[in-house]
Amino acid sequence: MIEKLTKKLDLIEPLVDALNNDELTTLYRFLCDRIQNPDFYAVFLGETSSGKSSIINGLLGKTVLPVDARPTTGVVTEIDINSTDDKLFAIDRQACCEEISMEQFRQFSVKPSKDLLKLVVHKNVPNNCLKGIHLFDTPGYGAIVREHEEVLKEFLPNADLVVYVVNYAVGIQNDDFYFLRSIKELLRDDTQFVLVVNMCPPSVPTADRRIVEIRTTASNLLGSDTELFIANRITLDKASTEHALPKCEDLWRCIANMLNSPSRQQRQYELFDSFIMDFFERCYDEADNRYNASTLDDETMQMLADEQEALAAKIEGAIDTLVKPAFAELISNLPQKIEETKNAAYKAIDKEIEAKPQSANQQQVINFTTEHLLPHHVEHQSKEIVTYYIETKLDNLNQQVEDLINKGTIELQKNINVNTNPNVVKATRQIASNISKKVIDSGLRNYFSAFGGAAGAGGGIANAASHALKKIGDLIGHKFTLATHNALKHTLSKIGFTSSKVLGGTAVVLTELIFIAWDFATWKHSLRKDVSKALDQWSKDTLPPVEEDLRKLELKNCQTISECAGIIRAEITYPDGKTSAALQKDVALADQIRVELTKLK
Amino acid sequence: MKTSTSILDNQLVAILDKYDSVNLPGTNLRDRSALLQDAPKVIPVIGMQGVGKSTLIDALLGEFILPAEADETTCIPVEVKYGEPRAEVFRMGDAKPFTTVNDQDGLRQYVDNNFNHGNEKKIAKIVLYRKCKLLETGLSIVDLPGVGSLTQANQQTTEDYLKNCCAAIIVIHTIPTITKTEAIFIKSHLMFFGSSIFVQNNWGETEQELQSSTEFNRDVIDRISKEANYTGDKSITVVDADSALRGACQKDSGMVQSSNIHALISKIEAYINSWDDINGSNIIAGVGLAIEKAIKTIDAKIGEINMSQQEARAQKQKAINEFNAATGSIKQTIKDTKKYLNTKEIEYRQLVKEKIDTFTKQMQAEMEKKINGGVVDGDDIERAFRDHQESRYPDLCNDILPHLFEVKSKIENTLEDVGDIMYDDSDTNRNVIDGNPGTEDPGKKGRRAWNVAAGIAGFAGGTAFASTAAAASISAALGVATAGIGFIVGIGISLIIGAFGAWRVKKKMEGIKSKIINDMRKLYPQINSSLLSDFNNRFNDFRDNAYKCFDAILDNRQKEVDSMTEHLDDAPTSIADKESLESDKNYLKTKLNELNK
Repeated sequence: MIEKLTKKLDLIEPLVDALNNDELTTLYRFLCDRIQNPDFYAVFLGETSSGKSSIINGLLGKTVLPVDARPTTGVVTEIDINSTDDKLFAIDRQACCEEISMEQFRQFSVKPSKDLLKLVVHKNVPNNCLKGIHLFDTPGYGAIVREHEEVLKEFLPNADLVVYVVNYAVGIQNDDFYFLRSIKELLRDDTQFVLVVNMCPPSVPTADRRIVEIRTTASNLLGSDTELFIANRITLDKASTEHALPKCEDLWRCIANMLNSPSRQQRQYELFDSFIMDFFERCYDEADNRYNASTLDDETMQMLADEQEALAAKIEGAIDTLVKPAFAELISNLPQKIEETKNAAYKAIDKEIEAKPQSANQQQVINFTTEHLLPHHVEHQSKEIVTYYIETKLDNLNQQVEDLINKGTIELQKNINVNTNPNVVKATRQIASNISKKVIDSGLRNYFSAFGGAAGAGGGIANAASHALKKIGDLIGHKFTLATHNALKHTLSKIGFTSSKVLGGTAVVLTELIFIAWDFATWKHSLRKDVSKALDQWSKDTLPPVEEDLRKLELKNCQTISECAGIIRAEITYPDGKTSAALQKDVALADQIRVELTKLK
Repeated sequence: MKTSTSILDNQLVAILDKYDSVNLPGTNLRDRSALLQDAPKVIPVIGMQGVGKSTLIDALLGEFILPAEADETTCIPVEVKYGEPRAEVFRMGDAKPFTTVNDQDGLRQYVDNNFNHGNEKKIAKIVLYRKCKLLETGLSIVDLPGVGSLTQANQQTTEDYLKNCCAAIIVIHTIPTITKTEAIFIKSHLMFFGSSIFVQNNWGETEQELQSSTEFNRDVIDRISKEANYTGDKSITVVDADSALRGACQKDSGMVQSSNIHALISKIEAYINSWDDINGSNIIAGVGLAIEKAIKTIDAKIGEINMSQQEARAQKQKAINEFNAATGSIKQTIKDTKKYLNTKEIEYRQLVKEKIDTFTKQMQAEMEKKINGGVVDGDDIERAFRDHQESRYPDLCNDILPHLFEVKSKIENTLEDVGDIMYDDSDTNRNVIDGNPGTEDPGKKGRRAWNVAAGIAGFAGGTAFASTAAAASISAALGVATAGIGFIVGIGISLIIGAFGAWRVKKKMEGIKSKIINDMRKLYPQINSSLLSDFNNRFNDFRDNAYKCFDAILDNRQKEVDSMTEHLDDAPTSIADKESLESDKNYLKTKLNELNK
């Protein structure tokens, strides 16, 4: 399959050479490199001290990642096992990369500064069959500080595989529960998932009750059956200062199989194939535009440039006229929506408590309140009110921006038709149509993508767009994807996460009270008061992160619109010293390549 | 409606029947027209529980009659229509009322959950008679079970009402604004039923609250309308139902005036009139098509005069060939659709299975977490189970319904395509019936599709088509009425209720948790399979009814061609018949001109 892709790339090469455009050449090289060396991202997740680092150390054959009885991984750590060197790096939020010593590495890992984005381990593991793999060790979900949680959530859509590690003795805990339940929303559809039960007693059977329970719960939460691996506890000599290195051969073999599975190869092939075809279209338009531009006089070129500028300015105007007001409204209404959620939840819970007989078993009522009433109603009402409000408002904004861009491009074409000298009409129209196409292909899709998969809203288009963006993102590298992939979906699921996490805290408020013996006559009153307190706490804790997420999304939207305007401005193409005839030859070459490419299908 | 009745006089019916003894289009159209005339006009009031449906109906009637304060209603449909004031209570399966009540207290015995827990009295519906001006037109206003409260038991009654639904009143709150579940519910309604009147109930919110809330609700309605392909009226009528009701009772006309209830009443009246118009224009379109066909037949017969036996035979043979060619295209269209349905069915079943598996699995995980956390009381478990289901089930529907909608649209398109083929060879007078030449009339295709399905002789679904407004006809005829009106919740709840007796915990909690978890594990597969068969049945009903309709179309085509073949060797029309043919034709032409006006 790689051969076919390479053949296509070879076909396109003469065109790239002829165009001699820096951006296209860079993209071409990047694409070639990517096809030769595809990446595979495996992310290790799980509760604090479930042994994620140990398992990776096991693969490395050496205690590289710090492990200890107390939490040691405080920051996302990338491990590249196919490096030619053995080096350690720290990368900060400004994307500065610094080589560090082992000592520093351990220090940073245990106590990361807020400015640290991630740690990177370069390691040469000889004879491994995990070519192209990047492993990511992560802090336990419960132990993550806010900043690092963001990194993790933004990174998850890039994962090809999630390895979820659960400690045998601990089982699935509250944090695991909330995390597993909503993780699917943060992942791509084709992301694979495996479960590792770590630190099992030696020679425990897979039918062990505990293991079956863990697996059942995990599978149920994920909504689909999951592959299971067992890692045994390794007992070291009491005096040993070494750390255990679990082997987990099955797991690594399974990952290697995933890497090389025909279905994955096929997916990769399709993805790359569409990259190549997209890239070719870009080259084609470039050649076409150059030739057309060469046939136009200066006046027409100027007119075109003016039109483009006008369109770019109009689209940029959306930032101030549409995006900012919409977000300002959203953010100013947010407290009220959270208040409504709180009140709706309280009303529902109150009704249930009221309905309990005075003589009810208090313990059971409290259990019911903390385990069901509070989490259910808060979650349900947030989904119904806050999330839906944000989703609808943003969907509406999306529509307005889309209309503006559509109208703008139609107008551009119309103006060009009206104002162009009839002799050059065809060439000018062609350029105008290429511009519009590009705006719609990249700019608009870019914008769309910010809403990808927003809970069904125009799901088809948005998902397709988000897929397309993922492709563009991959062309430029993972960094780009990280910034733009599925921003809204992200924000919404993060709100879900935030609520759930905050809920954990809320429940604590109540759990503390379980031990207080209430007066028989007034227990309902007391319980209600505490529910109200817990809900107040919830709303107080929920507002800031949601607001922050919205501000980030606003920024991202403004950037996307600016990028879109940039695409329009950049489109003005003057012939670069070549004669019109030579440029026409380039178009002919492109046409010929198109024919060849079609033959390869 | 009046036009269609007056135009179908005895002579026209006789002439139309005379020239098409297979379809008897005259009788058929007259029957359909009569059916439509007598068909009840139903406007259901739908919305989430507690949104104020009963108060709104009371406000329309101008009296406190439906118990609105009930904490939880039993979700029995209450139909309000014109007549001597009384309320008849119908039990399930009975055609006659088993009792009559006269006031709010009497009604409360049946519709309030406190007096009729879980509808233990097995009431199918209540018909309330009132002498109210609005109802004089033959209108029935029906308080339908809303989201989450439609059960298998009241599904049939609900479906019966929907067959005659001319427009639905959808009630929403001012605060809270439309919620996600509510939006899904409204969307599913719009997908399958079209015409809607959005009423926002205002309970004394401030001007500012009202404005921002209405704006948001409008955004939501725009958004879901787009998703549901709904092109009808999207405006929101804001009504203060409570003031309207109190104003009416206190004879305070200022209060009634400011409540805006009159705006709603005018809207309802407009809908009833337009419903008549739609049905009338369907019939008129049908009459026009039948006249065109008859004229064509007459022309052919007149053409035979002066022909030799052989020439006449050749002409008839040519007509048969053309007819067969058209039938061939129809067969192909149907075949393509069947193929599409087959592919779609596989996709649908796959999707439904995946979604339901995830649904039940997550339900299990949630429930087990709660039980492990100490929720062990039977009532608590039941409540948690119910809450979880009510929260997630709409999402499940939201994922699945668009696929049913797609199938429905495909079947509609097929009927339209068949209509195109069937009537394409008689386009001489088409524009007279279907509007000005050149301008695409969007209703034209629909009217023709309606006539295709309703006009098939001997097709039982035709009755459904004939008695239903165009927009909803296909949904109703295809038997997916309830897919659009609400979510059938309750699957699994009865299973789980039965299991609770054993779980009432009095003393020790230890050990009981795993017992409950284990007991409940037996239930999830049952819940899974009932959900599965429910969703699959909806598709099956769709498919089966569409197939029946297609078969009937082809069967009819066969009968027509058989009849044509039978008369192949008849003697050519003799000159003696000319006068009568010409006179029939002239009459048809006069009628056509009349239609044109």
